[in-house]
Amino acid sequence: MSDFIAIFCGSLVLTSLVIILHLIAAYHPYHNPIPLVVSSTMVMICGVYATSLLNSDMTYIEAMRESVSVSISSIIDIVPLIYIFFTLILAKVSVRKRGPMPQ
Amino acid sequence: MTDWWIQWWLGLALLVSGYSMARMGPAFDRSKFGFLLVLAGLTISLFPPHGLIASETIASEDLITAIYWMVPGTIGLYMAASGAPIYFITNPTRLIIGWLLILSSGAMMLSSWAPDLGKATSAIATLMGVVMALLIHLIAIRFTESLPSRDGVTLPLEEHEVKHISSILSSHIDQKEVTSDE
Repeated sequence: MSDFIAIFCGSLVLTSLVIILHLIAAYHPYHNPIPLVVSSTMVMICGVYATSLLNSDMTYIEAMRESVSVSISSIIDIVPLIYIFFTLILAKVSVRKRGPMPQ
Repeated sequence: MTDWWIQWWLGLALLVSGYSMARMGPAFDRSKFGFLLVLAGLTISLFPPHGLIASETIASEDLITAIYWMVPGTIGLYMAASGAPIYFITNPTRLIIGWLLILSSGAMMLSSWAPDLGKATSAIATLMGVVMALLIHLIAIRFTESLPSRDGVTLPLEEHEVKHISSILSSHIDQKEVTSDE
């Protein structure tokens, strides 16, 4: 069960990190990202803290590295399912017959 | 243990940042550098340094294994989608090449993919974590959208601005009428 919670917390941290990176990389002057960065940072801190409680012999950084990298492996394991899903949609689109283009 | 493990994480960060930057609108020049950053991130991630812990090494190996089928698969999906009859235009060459890539990368994927109960449990935990983080993010977006705008209410046009825009519109209408008369 502790592994399950550790992976859950790791994916919380990973998703929050990705959101923060996205907000910084895609920043533009017509956007107010501060509340979103603050909320994602809080989620990330909670995830790191929970992970460190599960791995009390590790530092915060080590616990975060451990759980987030396990989450990355799990996401890579899910990617084939997403690929199959997209392939099925594309197969349906590829064989579909469309009528003439509207004038 | 050295601190070179940061290099691997930096590569992943560049990968995510580059993708986000590449997806920016055409009005922002930074989007041009997006795919270069993705390539840089991919290159750094594919050559893991010494000093990674066991789970990072496994993740790095999984990533390298997946890249072999993911890259041709993504190109194939893109080509097949652009050749398929979506917008009343079909490009059979693109469609066939796309499907060849999709099927070959699918075969590579199936040879390296070995799902088991442990992986399924980890996947469920991961999906729950991702969904939870995204839900909190959506609530934060809803809260941000409810905040009052920093710019305030846009002021109405002044008299000279109204005259200027009216003169432009009337000149355009006159030109159109002259063209239709001819």
